[in-house]
Order: sequence, then C-alpha cells, then structure tokens
Amino acid sequence: MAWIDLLKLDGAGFAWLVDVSFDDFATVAYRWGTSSVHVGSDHYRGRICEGGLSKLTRGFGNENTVQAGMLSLLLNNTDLGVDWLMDRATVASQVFRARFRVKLLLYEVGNVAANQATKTLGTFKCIDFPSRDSANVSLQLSDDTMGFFNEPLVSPTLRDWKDDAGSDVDNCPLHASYGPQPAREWDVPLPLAFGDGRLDCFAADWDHGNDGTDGTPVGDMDGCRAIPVCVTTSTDAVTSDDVQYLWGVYGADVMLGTQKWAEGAGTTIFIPKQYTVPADSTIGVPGDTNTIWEPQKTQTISKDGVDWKLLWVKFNISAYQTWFQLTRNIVVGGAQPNGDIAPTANLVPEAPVAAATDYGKAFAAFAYFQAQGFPFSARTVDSQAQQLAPNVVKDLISYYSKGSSSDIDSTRFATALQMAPLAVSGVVLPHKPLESRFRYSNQPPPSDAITSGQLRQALVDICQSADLDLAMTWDGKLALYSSYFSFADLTATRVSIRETRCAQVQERVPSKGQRWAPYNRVYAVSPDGVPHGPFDNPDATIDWGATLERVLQGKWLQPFQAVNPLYSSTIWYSERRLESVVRPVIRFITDREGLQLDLGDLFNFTWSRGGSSGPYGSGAVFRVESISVDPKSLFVGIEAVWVDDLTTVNPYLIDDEILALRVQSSGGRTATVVDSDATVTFSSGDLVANGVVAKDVLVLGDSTQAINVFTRYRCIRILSVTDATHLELDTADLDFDAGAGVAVADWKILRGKQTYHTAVSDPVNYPSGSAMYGKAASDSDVYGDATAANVLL
Amino acid sequence: MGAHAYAVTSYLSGLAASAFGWYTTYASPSSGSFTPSNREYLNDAHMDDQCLVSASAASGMNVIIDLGSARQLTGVAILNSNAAVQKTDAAVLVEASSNATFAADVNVAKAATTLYSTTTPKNKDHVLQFTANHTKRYWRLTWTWTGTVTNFVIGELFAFIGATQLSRRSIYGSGESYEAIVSQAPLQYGETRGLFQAGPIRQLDLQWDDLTAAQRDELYNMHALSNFGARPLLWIESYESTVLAAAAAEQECIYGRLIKPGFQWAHKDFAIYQPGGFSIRSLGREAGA
Repeated sequence: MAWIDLLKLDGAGFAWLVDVSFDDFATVAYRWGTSSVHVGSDHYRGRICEGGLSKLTRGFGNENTVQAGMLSLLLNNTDLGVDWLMDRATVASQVFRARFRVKLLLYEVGNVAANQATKTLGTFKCIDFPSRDSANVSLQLSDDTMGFFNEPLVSPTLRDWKDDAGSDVDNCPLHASYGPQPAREWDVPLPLAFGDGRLDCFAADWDHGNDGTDGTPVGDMDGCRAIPVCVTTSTDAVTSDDVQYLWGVYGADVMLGTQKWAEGAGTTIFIPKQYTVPADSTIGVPGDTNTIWEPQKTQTISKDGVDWKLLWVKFNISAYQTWFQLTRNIVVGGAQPNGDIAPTANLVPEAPVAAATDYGKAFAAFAYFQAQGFPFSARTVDSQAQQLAPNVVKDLISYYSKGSSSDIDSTRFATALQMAPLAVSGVVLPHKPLESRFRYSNQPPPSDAITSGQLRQALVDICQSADLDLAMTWDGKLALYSSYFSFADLTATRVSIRETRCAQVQERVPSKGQRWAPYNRVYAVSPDGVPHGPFDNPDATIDWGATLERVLQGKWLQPFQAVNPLYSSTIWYSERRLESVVRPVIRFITDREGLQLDLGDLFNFTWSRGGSSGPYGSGAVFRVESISVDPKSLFVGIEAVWVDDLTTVNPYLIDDEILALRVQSSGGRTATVVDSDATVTFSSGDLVANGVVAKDVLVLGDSTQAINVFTRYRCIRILSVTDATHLELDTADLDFDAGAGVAVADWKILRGKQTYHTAVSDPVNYPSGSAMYGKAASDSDVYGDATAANVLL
Repeated sequence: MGAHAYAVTSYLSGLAASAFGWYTTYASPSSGSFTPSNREYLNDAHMDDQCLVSASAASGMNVIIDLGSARQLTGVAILNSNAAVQKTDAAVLVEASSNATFAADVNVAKAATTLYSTTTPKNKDHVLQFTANHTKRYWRLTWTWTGTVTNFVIGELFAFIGATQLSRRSIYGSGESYEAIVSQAPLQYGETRGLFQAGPIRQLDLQWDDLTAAQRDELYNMHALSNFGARPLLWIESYESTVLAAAAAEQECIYGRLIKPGFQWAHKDFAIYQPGGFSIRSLGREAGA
C-alpha cells in the first residue's frame, strides 16, 4: 500500500521513528521508535516516551530563509541505553555530530510487515546539550540548518597558500625568497565571490624585501605582487576570463612628489591587461607589448578535506609604471625618466620621494583594487557574466557549506530558476583586512557595496534580493521557492481540503511587516544599502486611500535598476515583479491527509461556513506557508496564503500546435490530387464542418512517396473551400506526380498564418494579458491584443 | 487448575546472541543453518523488540541454546511470538542435551505441546513447565506446524529454574482487562478519525484476602524480588511440573510488571491478613501488535 493510501486508511496504525547517524546517514547508529517495530530489514527499538515527541513544524521565515523547526525528544533510559548522549566522552565525539532523522511510519493494523510506508518529516541536530534524570534523557533538537548552513566551509588563507608544499618562487609571490612582509590579513579566510559585480580586492603584500631589480632576482614573480580575488572549489585551470577587468583605487593620501595629488587621490582607474609601447616612444621599449596583470590560479590547496584554488591577479609593477607614464605623463614612483616628459613626479602614498625601482612604494599608492570576471567561485553558470540567484544559492549549499548537493531539492530549485532568474552578485566572507602597513588612517575603508556576511546572512540577502524563499521540506532537503508560479504549478492536480475535515479555521490579512502584507509603495535598497524611492503603484495608491510601504532589499541584485518604475514591469526574468494585492492568510487544522502537502504547495480549500455564503464556498487556491503535525493525533496545522488569482493574472499562454489543427486523415478519408488540377477531392467527411477556410494550409505527407520528393510531401495554402469534399489550392505548382490522380492517405489541414488564433478568436487558449515571450508580446512581454499568436513560432 | 506461580530470573539473560543457534532441520544442523541478525532481541527483557527468525518459516525450525554450563531448567516461556497466531496446530518440543548438536544424549523435557491459539493476545505468550529431570548445557526448542509461518518472530525467550508457587490463588473479584492505545482526532462537522498505536495490552487485577502471615509474605517476596515493578516477572497462571504436553490452561502466562511500586497489608482478624490487590500489566508489544 502506498503512503497516500495508508494516510487515507481509517484506523491505520502509526509509529514515530528516529534514525541517529554520525556520518550524515551513510550509516545509522541507532534506531528508536515510539514502539518497537521492524521496518523493512531495520528494527526500531521502542524508546520514545509517551508524549516524548513535540509538535513538528515547517514554515517560511520572515527573512525569506529557513525558519528553524524545533523538536524535543524524551527517551527512555531505564536500560541505560542512551547514556551515551550524556557521557562526557561521547558528548564530544558523537553528540555534536549526531543527526536525527524523524520519520512517520504508517501501517495496516494486523498486516504491519506487508503494508507499511514511512515518510521523513525532518532532520535535526542537537541545539543544546541533552539532560537526563534517573529514567529518561531529554533532547532539544533543531533543524539541521542551524548548524550546517550557518557558516561556509573554512576557506584557505594567504598563509595556507604561502605554506603549501606546491608553492615556489615561480608561482607564489609570497614565497619566503621574496621576503614578503607578513600581515595580519594573511590569516583571513579568503572570500567567495559570485556574479559580475566589481569585487574589492586587496594586495597580499604591498612591500617585498626582494623585487628582483634590486639585485636579488629569485624567480618568475620578481617585481610582481599578488592581488587575491576569491577562492573556488573548482579545479578548472585558469582562463583569461577569470579576471577580465581590473581597476585600481588610489588612496586618499596619494602624493605627487611632495604634494597631494588632488586629481588622483581616492579615484579609480581602469588598468588594462596589456599595452603596446608606441614605436616613437621615448619611454619603455618601442613596439614591445607589456603585460601589466594576468589572472592566475594557485595549485590545489587542501583544507579540512576540501580542495580549493585561489584566483589571484599577478600584477607587474614595472609594466604598470611604464603604462602609467605613457598614458598620464606621470612617473610612478621614480625619478624623471629620459626625455621631455613633464611633470616630473612620484606617485606614491604619503612618503618621501622614492626610487623608480621602489616597487613597494609605487604599488602602495593603491588603497585597493576591483576585479570583474567570471565565474569566480560559481560552479553552476548559465551564461557568461550572469549568475542567477537560485544557482548561487545552490552552489553555496552544495560546494561551500557542510551540506552537499544531496541536501537540495533539485526539482524545487529548477522551478525557482525558471520563475526567478534574477542575476545576483556578491561576496561571502568578504575580505576586510586590518590596516596594512601601507594603508593610512585617512584612506577610505574597503567598500562593502557588494559584500555580505557569513553564509546564512548571504543566503538571506540573496533570497531577499531575488524574492525567493529558502525553506526545508519535510524530508529535510533545502528547497527554493519563488513567489510566482510556473506553468507546472498552474496545471498540476491539486490536493483538495474540505472544511468538513478541518477545525479551527481562521482568516486574517497580514499586517505590515509580515509576509504577504499588502503594499502600494516600495523603497528599493541598492547593494550599497541606500534606499531608493518611494515608487508608488499609481492605481492602488489612490484606490486604497492609504499608503502601505514595503522595503525591497537588493543587496545582491546585479544589475540594480532603482530608477525603473517597478510597478509597471511584468518582466520577471530581469526585474522584480511587484503587485498591490490583498492576500488573506488562512489557518486551520485538518486530519493527517494534510501531510500530503509540503511548504509552497498549492491546494484547493473550501470554506462555506456551513452554507453557501462562505468566503470560499466554491473553493479557492491557497499556498502553504507553514505546516505542523501533532505527533499524538496526527492533526496537521496549516497556514496558507490566498493565491486564487494565479490563473487569471498573467496566465501562461501555451502556443499549442495541436490547437492549429483543423482536421486530419482518419478512417480511410483520402485527399486525391491530380497533376495540373488545383482541385483536391476528399473521399468523405465535411470540410466546412471541420472549420476549414480559405488561407488554411493543406499538409500532404504521402508515405508512399520518398520524403525528399516534394510533390506529395508538402504544404499548400488553400484558396477556397468549394463544398464538403472539395477545395481549391492556391499554388501554381500543380505537379503531384499524379497524372491520373493519387489518393493521399496521410494529410492534415492546419490553420495558416492568416487564420491563426488571436485573443479575439480564441480567448480561452490565448487570453489577452497572458505572459509570454516573442514578437506577439508587448514591450512588457504581455500578450495583449489580437495579434496572431503564431507570430511566436 | 494449579497454583499461581511466578519467576523473575531468566537464565537466558546475559547470554550472547551467539548462544542461540538456529537450525532449519533436526537432522542436519550444519547444512541448513542461518543466522538471524537480531538474535539479541531474544533475551533482552523486551517483548516488543522481536527477533525476526524467518520471513517464511518452515515446520521443524529449531533453536539450540547454549547455556554455557549445565543447568536444570524447569520451564521456558515463549513470549510475543506469532506462531500460534497464524497456526492452530503450532507445537513446541523442548529437549535437553549435553551434546552441542544434539547428535547424542537427547532428552525430552517437554513433549510437543500444541500452543494455545484462540484469543489475542494470549495466543502470543506461552509457558511450558516441566520436571527438573535434566541438568544439561544445551537446550533445544523445535517448532512444528502445517505449512509455513510468515515473518516468524519471537519477542522474548524466558527460561527459569523452579518457578515459585503461591499457596493461595487469588479470590473472586480478580479479573483481567485489555486496553488499546488509540488516538481519536475530532473534526468539525462531526467527523472523528482514529489511529491505532498498540493493543490490546493485557492486565491482571488480582485480589487476595484472609491470608496467613506465610501466605502474605509470599506475596511480599514476589514484590521484593521483582523490585516492586522495576523488574518484569513471568506470572504463571497455573503451575505444573510434567514432561507431558501442556493443556491450554497450563500455558497461560503474562510477562509484565507490577504497576504499583509498593505493598501493604492490614489485619483483618487475629493472624489473618488482607494485603489488598495488585495488578500485573503486560510489557508492551511491537507497533501494530
């Protein structure tokens, strides 16, 4: 019997089961139950006390990310069998890493072994130490997310790179031979970066003891500095796209000679990868092509069992100096070169005049750098320079947390990707080093324009920026939900919940600040944290007679377009789609059949209040916002938001080619064609009744003819329908290879370009206002007039 | 009807799982052996944790128990087993031997006894009592029936030496009750949905009166030996001591706990004591039992 059948079976038996694992369920160390039972080949020992399991809950959080579900568990310990939960040694070695998977077993009473099914209803970890009395051990558990997805994996540091066995004088500017100046940021875990925003980067070391040109050359990194960009778990080799553009930001105290350089101080300059010295130049070697910088990846650096690579920029200071001098007529950190180049000056941070070969001084004129590239830390990419929010969330969980791809509900992520493909950009674990030796107190702090916090905060920011909800499904997988619906959502068979199987039904309109609170004015917060707006819904602001604000977070949104009138946009693939709709939220409890639902599921709910005048007497569509189950009665508590307009507001237009079919051959109905004759004779049927009209298309597909002979294998426009069995063709090419006539058995007649559907002729299948792509759509991607839908094809 | 009796010590407790050797046939134990992965459940003092012997158990299945040293058992209880639930002709033969494979020195301790099979859950618990004739290290239980038993399970094997008899039986007013654990979930519009968790759970409510001091102390000793309910005891409804096959009444037992952790008595007359009643509640069974 399937789970759903057992769920509906009256008088079914049930038991709660708990699997305990120390290795992410590769193996199960303990199996406990509310009663002892064999489940398949596994035996569960009855250990959970009566009333020893608290209510299980799942819900969307207010911050668009996982609302942690809590669970308490009381275990019988009269046999001392769970003392390991309290013993000092095993607390350290087992309890911290233990994961608890809670399952509900349903079975047919009297036939347990043959008719049983389980459903996972959560995976948990200890959030507090267990406690015990003389008979029992008490556990307080919480969703895995509290631990697994709070912090990213510990990424390598610059010191890890420097000390790695694979680092040498030819691949690491921090190699000891260069005498790098240790800095505290060498121990900062290096950041993860996503998207195509400009990423703030700092030099690994502004000053070297040995720069080659000072007489102590040691390797390929002479005269070069490292600008760390980000780390990645991809082991792909470096490409030129990894860092495509580089900017340098001068410190506010940058000097030109002995004067503050007002034009340059604090400004950002674009630094090309390469340049060619003009043939008539008196600076550098005429005709030479010099490389200022190039992206590099380190060897694989293993840390805590994970393989990483650091993406960094190899910056050649000498080449930079020459380029700067060529383009700006300024000598960077050196004495006046030969030739008539003025002004003679040095570009260094607040310091005395330095020698031209004092690369450290020249390099330290920069406060920091900005890099733009692709794909940085991303592992899942859809297109060049565009990383979509669902993919970034997936990568962070799959590759940069203690979770794995198996912790992800791939179907829900795929749907979210369809519905919320917003590009995002940002940094996890932003590199905010302490003051370096060449950064001065009046230099600007590192910009945090596109930076974020730790993993959990990053997930919150991404989800809020892209209108996504990250939540945990019943089976303990992380799922991503868009607030908009896919075609599959609209057309799927929905569970129906009748009020006769419910109790304690309540309805309310969410208050300001709560999920789904109505709004008619928005403020959009840009990545740098500045609110823009207000942007008003022009209609709702007047109609409602009140202004209800909502703040749209956009910390990870890239590109951020605050200037657009957001309310007028229905383009969900590049902007956020706003609405001013009152969406009530209902709350009720129902029987265990409610366990068919999971977060984000759509269902039909009927509420007649005993008569026909109820608010949802004929049913309405709701979306599950939170769900709970009582372990004793299996009562399911559901909170859901009204989304009954999903099929009427911006519905999907399905340009189904089958709808274009007027009639096709069947039952021996043939179409006879004769050379040099425009008349086609049908053996039976009624063309008029079939709806065939002039400008439709006859498609011949005579299987007795080779498909590359296009006389009875072709499409011909119809000039007119003569009667039930005759039509005239609109073509001069009447060669059918059928001198005496051939009865074609395989044919069909389709609507032609001029007889195709419009919103007027077929409003059911092509409703005005449908969301669609293509030439028939308006600038807002709405199908809104009588334009023939076949323009799409 | 014999006297009431009880036992609190199982001489199988403490044996390793490897002490239970399962064989499919009497004649060739070495060729037909298999090893249930959960033999430890046979002597863990939990009826609910069952040893799944075989998904499709043929007649003649037997287990040889290695006690480690020779012992003079007088009875064995087979608890929370489903052979008699499925078969009305399920029978058990108890034998003892000094030979590990029963190739020699085979002694019948209890003749093949057809297990009581009528009323649930009594048909899951059976005690076989016999005379203290054999002091042997190896004991063998052999099950026979017609056809096969599906998912043949045993919750607990309890072997004892010298069950303690009580001089008096309980009086009128004693009785037996059955309880099931059922969740009922009421909905609006009158619907109530039911969920089954366990049951029926057996409970004996025993009344006593007009006891002598010695008879009173017998009851007290039973309480003390079972640690006033902390330790389960095997209650035998009708004592017997014979190699002959047992009648249904002599198979009746309950493996449970005294549910009240105390014992008191009152003088009723000179040297006549009224201890009141006490109850023994069966240990729980597996889900869906």
